[in-house]
Amino acid sequence: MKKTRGSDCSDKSARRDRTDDLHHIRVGEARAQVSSQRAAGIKEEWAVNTITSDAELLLKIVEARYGRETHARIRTERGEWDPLRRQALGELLRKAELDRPVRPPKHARFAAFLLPWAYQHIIFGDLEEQYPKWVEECGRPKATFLYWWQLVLSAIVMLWPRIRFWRYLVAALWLALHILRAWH
Amino acid sequence: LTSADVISYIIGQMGSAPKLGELEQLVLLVVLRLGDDAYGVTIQREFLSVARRSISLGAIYTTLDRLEAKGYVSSTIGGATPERGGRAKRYFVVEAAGKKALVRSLDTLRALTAGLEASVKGL
Repeated sequence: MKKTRGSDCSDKSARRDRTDDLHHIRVGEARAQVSSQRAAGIKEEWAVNTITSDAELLLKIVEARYGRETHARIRTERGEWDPLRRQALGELLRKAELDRPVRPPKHARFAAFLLPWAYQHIIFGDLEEQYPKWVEECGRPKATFLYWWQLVLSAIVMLWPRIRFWRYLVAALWLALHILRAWH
Repeated sequence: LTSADVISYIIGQMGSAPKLGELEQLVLLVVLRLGDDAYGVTIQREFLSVARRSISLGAIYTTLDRLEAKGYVSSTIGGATPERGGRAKRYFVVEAAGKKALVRSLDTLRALTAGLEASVKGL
């Protein structure tokens, strides 16, 4: 592994000075603050006794993101990213992202009232069936967007005839009211 | 075919015209292509892959509802599957009246486009 600037962990005072210098990677809603510091430096953060290798360190990050913990925090040193380590982390996070169970947006069910009652189950079933395929093809954010887009578009298309009917009814009532007023 | 033939054919058809809209015609064709496996998702995919056209599920079901009211298609509710979150599929099949309407509609289209190959490129 390439040794980056300031990665000498034997210099404890220097390491303490650098702990506030954190690099951030945004992965979905969680944030992993990744360190290239040696295992001893991140022990207290992980509540583990030893982390012997970089691979283990990266796995811990993934575990923290997708496992029991929701927030990962590892101290980092001042200096450049090690490209190999960054690449490995990216790959692990992507793998973990793929391994995550694919479930459609849970808040979408609250939009069920937008659809006619007879179609709620059928359209939600169709969208749920397509969601994993969209995730596989274009990633989770775009799949979620497609899910909502299809839902809203379907609601507009299906409600439009009803809206049109109500528009004519309101116009007819308005006209009738004006005729009655004129009559009296 | 002369233009008089075409006009007389169209006038002859007008009394019993099936009144199939463009989308209705396309949906009928897609359902016919899919056979026993025609439901919302497969119809939408077939539209995208064959007709190169993106269509919402709402538009598909609204059109199929219209066709069902005319007696051109019929629908059945399938069993619930886990990949759909335990929700059932609604399968559609084209009825004999639908096939007849489709044939008439396509005949009209053929009659109207006959002889236009030279004037409309790619026809």
